[in-house]
Amino acid sequence: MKKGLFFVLLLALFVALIGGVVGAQDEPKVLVTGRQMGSSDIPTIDPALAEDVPSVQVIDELFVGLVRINEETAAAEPGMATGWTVSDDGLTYTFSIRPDVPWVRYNAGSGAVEQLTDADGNPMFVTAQDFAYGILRALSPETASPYLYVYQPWIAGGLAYASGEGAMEDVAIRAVDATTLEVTMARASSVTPLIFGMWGFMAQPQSIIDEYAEFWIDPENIATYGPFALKEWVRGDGGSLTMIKNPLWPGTDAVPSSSIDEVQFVFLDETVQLTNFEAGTLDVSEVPGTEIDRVRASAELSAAYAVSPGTCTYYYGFNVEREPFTDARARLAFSMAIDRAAITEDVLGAGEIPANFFALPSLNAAPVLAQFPEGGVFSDAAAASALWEEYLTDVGKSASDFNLTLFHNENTLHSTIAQAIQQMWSETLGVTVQIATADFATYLDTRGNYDVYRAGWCYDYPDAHNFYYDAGFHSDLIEENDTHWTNSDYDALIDQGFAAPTVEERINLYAQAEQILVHDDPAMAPIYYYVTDDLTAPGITRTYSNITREHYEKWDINR
Amino acid sequence: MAVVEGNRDLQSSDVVKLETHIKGESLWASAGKRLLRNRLAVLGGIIIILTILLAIFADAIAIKPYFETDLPSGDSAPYWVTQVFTSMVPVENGGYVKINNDYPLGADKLGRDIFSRIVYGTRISLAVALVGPILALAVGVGWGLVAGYFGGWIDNTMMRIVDIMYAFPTLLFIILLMTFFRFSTATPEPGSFAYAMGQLDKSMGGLLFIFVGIGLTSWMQMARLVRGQVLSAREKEYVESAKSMGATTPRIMWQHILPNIMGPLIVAETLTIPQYISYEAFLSFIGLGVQVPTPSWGSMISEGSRAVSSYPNQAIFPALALFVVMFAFNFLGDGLRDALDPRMRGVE
Amino acid sequence: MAVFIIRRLLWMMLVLLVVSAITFILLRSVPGGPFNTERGVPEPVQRSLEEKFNLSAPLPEQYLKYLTDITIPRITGEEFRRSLTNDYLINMPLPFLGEKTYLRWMNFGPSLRVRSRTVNQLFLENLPISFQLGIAALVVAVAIGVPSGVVAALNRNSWLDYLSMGIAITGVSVSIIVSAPLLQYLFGVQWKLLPASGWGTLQQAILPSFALGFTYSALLARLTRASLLQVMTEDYVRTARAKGLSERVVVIIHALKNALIPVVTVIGPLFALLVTGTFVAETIFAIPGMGRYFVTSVTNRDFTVVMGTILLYAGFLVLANMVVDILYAWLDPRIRLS
Repeated sequence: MKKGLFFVLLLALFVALIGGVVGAQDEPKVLVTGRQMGSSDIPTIDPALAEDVPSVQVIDELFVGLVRINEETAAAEPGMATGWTVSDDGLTYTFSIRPDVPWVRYNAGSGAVEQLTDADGNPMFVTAQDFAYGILRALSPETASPYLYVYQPWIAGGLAYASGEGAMEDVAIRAVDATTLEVTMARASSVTPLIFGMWGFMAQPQSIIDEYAEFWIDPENIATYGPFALKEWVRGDGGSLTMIKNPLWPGTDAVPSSSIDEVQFVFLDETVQLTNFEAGTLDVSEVPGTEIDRVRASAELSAAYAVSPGTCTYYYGFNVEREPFTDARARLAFSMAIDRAAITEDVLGAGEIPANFFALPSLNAAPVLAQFPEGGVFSDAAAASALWEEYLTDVGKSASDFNLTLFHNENTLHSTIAQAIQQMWSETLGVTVQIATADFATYLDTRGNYDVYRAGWCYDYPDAHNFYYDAGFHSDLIEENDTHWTNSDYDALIDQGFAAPTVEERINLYAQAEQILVHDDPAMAPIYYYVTDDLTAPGITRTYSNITREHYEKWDINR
Repeated sequence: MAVVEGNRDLQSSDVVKLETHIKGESLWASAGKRLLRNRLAVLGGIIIILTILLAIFADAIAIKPYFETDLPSGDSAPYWVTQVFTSMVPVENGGYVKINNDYPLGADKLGRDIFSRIVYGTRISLAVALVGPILALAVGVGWGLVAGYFGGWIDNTMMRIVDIMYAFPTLLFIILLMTFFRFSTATPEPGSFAYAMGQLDKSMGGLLFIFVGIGLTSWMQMARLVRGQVLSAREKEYVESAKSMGATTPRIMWQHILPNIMGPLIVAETLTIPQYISYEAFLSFIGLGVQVPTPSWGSMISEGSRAVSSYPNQAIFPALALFVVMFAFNFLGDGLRDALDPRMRGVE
Repeated sequence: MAVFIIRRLLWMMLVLLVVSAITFILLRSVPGGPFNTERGVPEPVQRSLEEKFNLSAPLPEQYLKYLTDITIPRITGEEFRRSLTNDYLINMPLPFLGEKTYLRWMNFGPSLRVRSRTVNQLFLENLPISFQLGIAALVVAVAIGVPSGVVAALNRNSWLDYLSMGIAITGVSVSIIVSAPLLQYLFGVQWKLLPASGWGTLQQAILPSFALGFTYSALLARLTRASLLQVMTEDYVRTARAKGLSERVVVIIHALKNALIPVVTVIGPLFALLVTGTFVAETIFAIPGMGRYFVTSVTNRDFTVVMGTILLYAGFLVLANMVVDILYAWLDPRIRLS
């Protein structure tokens, strides 16, 4: 009877549902962490293409650079290189590479991490050639790495190659033999070793990449060599990535063999993470800003809660081509009118630090408040108001003549901060500021058209140079700088600071540069330094990273 | 000639109007009686009237301006709220909630009064509830009228366009449209049309593009309905007679057909009001709604739900407001439908 | 029937063509591109990327290329190397034409933002999850809606009628942006009865499918009730009653079966609505479905993903409507397909 069709349909729906839901995976978990993973799928785990924190976190565990950045001290330690020598002119670096690290892949069939062999059946080891290939791949305009701006100026010939003007052969990088890599830099600097700890400069498996093209990072294709291997990658927002211990990684001082067997990264919104942590299904969780008070008040949660320094500065950029920000006094007045302590304590509350300098205090060669107590910019409503009045009298205008717009990308946190600052400017300076928002793509494209825009800078390598130069305030990168601000004194100080041999000299030079950047001729208003806070389940021994990404091979679980 | 035609027209339309009036009176009157008997529908109506009053007198009812921040009072709540949501333990009792009885429903992260923001939020929801249907009516009626009246290839083409619009997944299309309207107006030079629209939208707190976005995705049902009505009305005697008396096409459509079909259309559109309210809330929820600091229930729920474990009041009160208003519109609409179509109730 | 289906299929193609054109125009008029990043991309790199992903040609040309990649099947015996720009949804071997001959069809292109995944992979891995969620929600809607409609009809104008209709209207009044966080808070956080997020187990499916399905149960309840009331006044039911059959038998055997015809017909469009409306549920419950991709791809200007998703969902909607039309004609012979 065809009228019975409905019931058949319903039954079919039930079967489909149950089949679909129950048929899904149920894998054993060891350490489940949502820390610094975000709620979206990890964009990539290709070292040459990575640009965001979650991708870099995973890459740093699957691969090891010539240099390993220590997660607590942010210093350059021997990674895949057992050591390196520098020529007298400070330009040429010779790395000796470990001979005993094989390329591996997880075999889902056997459930084991297996060593890879080449076409002739010989085991493949990571060589100097793999590093040369990897570094050149990151620099290649063909690869089109989003990080090219950061990579290209370092190695001699790199800039020309990256911009399509020079040949690959002219990049000064050479594998002398399987274990010796020789690299000549464009300029001498004490910052250089840190660059070889960056993810783009990892060894990469040419034969695999040639074979599978962009799909080489899929779990069934990838070749890695770090302390962990890739086990599974459930793609999609709300998905996960699982790493399994690589038993073939020879433990070193800087990168020991892992005590944990599996680390599962889950891609969850921090609110959902906390919910899962409280339900006991997550071992390491982030804490949404809105929940911090409750976490601190709870005996159980506060014991699991820890705050460590972050890697980013939150700031507002002033468009120096638009009135009133054509005048340095107006910019400084707007910067001083921001009550930074109110933002960090009342709006944020995780222990974020009010920023008086642009560069993070934890960076190598960054000037810090303790050493320069008078330096940088300070929140001071009275001074801001006075300076603003002075400017207004000078130009013969009143505060109501200005119709300004503050621009930020769509995000609850940015929105909350912007509304707080909107009120501060209105109360202290009497200026009505509109808030405009856009999605990230529009924001990046159009932020240069607004009066003030919100921005953040997170370091790529832990040296102050990365803030002062790569963030775009140096006139070399004027096209990247949406404040349109340049200052030749600033440029000169940054160039000197880069080449200066001792840290003390560099700090002094940078302190002067900071004074220009945030106070004398401000381009921007630094607002606060980020912190990283998280919850750890009992029974987990862990390190607390100062460089955002964790090195899970140093963790342990006893429960 | 014009005078004569005008006279004739006047006469014939008078007849028609009278006819409708008589017919309509009894229909509406009995429907009204049935509606009043439906207690839940009456309750819905009362709630809607109260909400409208709330929106009109928001300035007087709200205890603070919706944008006024007070950072030190951020996330505070009155004592009674902590009694209702027992997980919200006050600081005095070893918990984390700051008690501040100046805020009847508590304060948000920036120390803004949630009660006042909900009160102002009624304006947004009601504006959408009002303008959404009007837009859909305007576009849909025009479209359906033209298609139905002319018939033939015009009808065919126009209805195929409706079919195509139907093929768009509504929510996805709204997101796409909103992105398009908002951000393609972000760059043009002053003076251009797009720029002017962008400025207008900004001055309306982002409402303009919400109206347009929702309007563009919701007129098709109306167009189909109108076309159907027109097709049947076209055959009716009064149209025939108006035609034979030489009335022009627009005049026939405007003066004869439209008044006759308008009643049911308005009722039909009333039923969709909750949908408009929920679309606005959805858009605000995903950050494509009204611009800050204008309060919208959707954006309040979205922000509040990020803190739902610590401060459930911040999400639940605006959610309750949204629920009550949707509930009222649904009950009223349901009552209206039953009243007009007694068979649906199956009473007789 | 066959003519009808062919005509509808042709029409569907035209619809999808227009849908894709409108989407393309809207999408490309918005500022920003898929390669924008905070660090900025050097000019030559930007150019080479645009070249590689076919974004440098004039817009009409790009659109044509996109369309051809999707619509024109290729029958080829060439050595095939799957890559980002060369990945087909349908790879059918054609052994009668040659050993390595394949029919390759529907290349939806790479995800421009991620650059390590194709839109086809997205369809294959994430779409099934959205489908499961849609089905689960439909089951909830039917399981709540139909029985409450029956109860209301059988006890019309009694308190049971008002109660079940009241519940139905409550359901339709609860927006998913209200019910989803609320359910998550109550069951996941407060009472810890169900997992607060994720996808993969039956428990995890309960909250999101309920949040999504509850809203639509009202529609089904109302429809069931009206339809059942109508049917119960028809002659054959009266006859059955007159024959002295018990009320229960009358309702179950005779009335309900016929009353459910209109209900069945709304299930198709309802299902389409559910599958395309999973976005909020997927966001709040952290479900790796397709819905979230759409929103993030719009904000990221991941052109190919947006186009692919819209086309897929639009095609799905049109198909669902067609199936309903056919089903309707089949169930009720009085209706003729035209």
